[in-house]
Amino acid sequence: MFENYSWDTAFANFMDSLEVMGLGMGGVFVVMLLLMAAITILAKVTGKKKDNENK
Amino acid sequence: MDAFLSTYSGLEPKDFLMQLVMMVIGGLLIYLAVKKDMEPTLLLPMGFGAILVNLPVSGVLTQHSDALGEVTGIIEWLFDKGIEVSEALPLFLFIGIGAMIDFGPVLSNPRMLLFGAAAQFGIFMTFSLATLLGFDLRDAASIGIIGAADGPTSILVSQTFGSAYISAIAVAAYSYMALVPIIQPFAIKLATTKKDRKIRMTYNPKNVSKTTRILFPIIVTIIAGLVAPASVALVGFLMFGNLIRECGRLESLSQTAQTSLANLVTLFLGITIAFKMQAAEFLRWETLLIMGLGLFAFVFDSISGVLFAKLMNLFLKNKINPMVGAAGISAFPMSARVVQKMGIKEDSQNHLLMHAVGANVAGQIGSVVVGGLILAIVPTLL
Repeated sequence: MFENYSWDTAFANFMDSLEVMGLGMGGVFVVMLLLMAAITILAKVTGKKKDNENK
Repeated sequence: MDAFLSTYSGLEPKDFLMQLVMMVIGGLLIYLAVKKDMEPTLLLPMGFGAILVNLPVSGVLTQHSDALGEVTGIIEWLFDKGIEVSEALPLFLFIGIGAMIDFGPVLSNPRMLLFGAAAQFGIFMTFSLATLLGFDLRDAASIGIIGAADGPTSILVSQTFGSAYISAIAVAAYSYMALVPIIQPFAIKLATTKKDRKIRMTYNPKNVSKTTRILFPIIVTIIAGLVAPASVALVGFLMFGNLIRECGRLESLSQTAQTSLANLVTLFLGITIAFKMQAAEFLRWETLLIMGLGLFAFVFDSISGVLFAKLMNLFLKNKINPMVGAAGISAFPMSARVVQKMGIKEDSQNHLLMHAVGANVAGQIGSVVVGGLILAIVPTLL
């Protein structure tokens, strides 16, 4: 690895890694936000069902 | 006698010396597992496996001889079939892990999911740093994923990318998971003040319905699968295990997945990964570099979780103790315990455990999602 080190290649890979960072962090936050929304909806729906059962 | 000596005829003294060093490293892993209780379920099989594969002309590796032709070695066969061809072993382990996870704390307090995302930032920082050090995109991504604090994900991603450093990555991932109680307090203290660490949080758990518990693993799989199709294997097997646990009809299967299946797969996973601990592949400077990068990933995962909690506090009325953010990594339950212990140390009445468990469980989802995202994104850049 060190014998073939090239700053140009490393820098090009670094720029690509920044793109992966942006897409990756964006992607994981999107998944988590969607899950938060799904849990909130589920809690409302299944909570209401429980309330009705209690009545 | 001549026949015996001819077995070793092709062995160079330098190669033998390197194999001896690897056997000492194998012994060190066994020592750490037995004496220091560092992830013994993985480090002990890996340590013994390192000895097996580094014995000269070892029978656990495929050998060629004029008389017998090719004789298949069991560890090489296990690696080929169980990891290289199908990644079956880490995926089977995910079923067991899924069956062990109680998502209750995060279902009760869903905002903890955000820490499961924020604390993955160290993975990407390490990825970028590794590229600057000269690793190509595949290897750098595989090294970054050490920060997932999730051994099976690290193994799966590095194997899918065909990284030559899979054994060093596995050793780093499992070693640092065992060292979470040492690494995280250091990282948390770097990013917090005493005042931050004293922030009290009350715990008001909401009831989580059975329907929610059953639907959650299915929803996670669908959402993660739509955002990152490559994550379906990882997330799907994890959530399959969790569905078995939560459905309430498969108690026997759930127990089997949590105990027998997880134990059996762990047993074979460690010794199989040792295939890549052959001297020529393991004894190189890159291994040391990977160990350093793995530490960097763990430290910056924790710091990014803490900083994200501080950012959230700018907008929240009820403040979050920033230490909880650091629990958003996948090392469960060690990370949650570290946060609880540090909270109690600052204020004996401040119990952060359940909040931290919520973040920690979210970290388990986050790490597999990031693993899938990396598997999906990196190939588009190659």
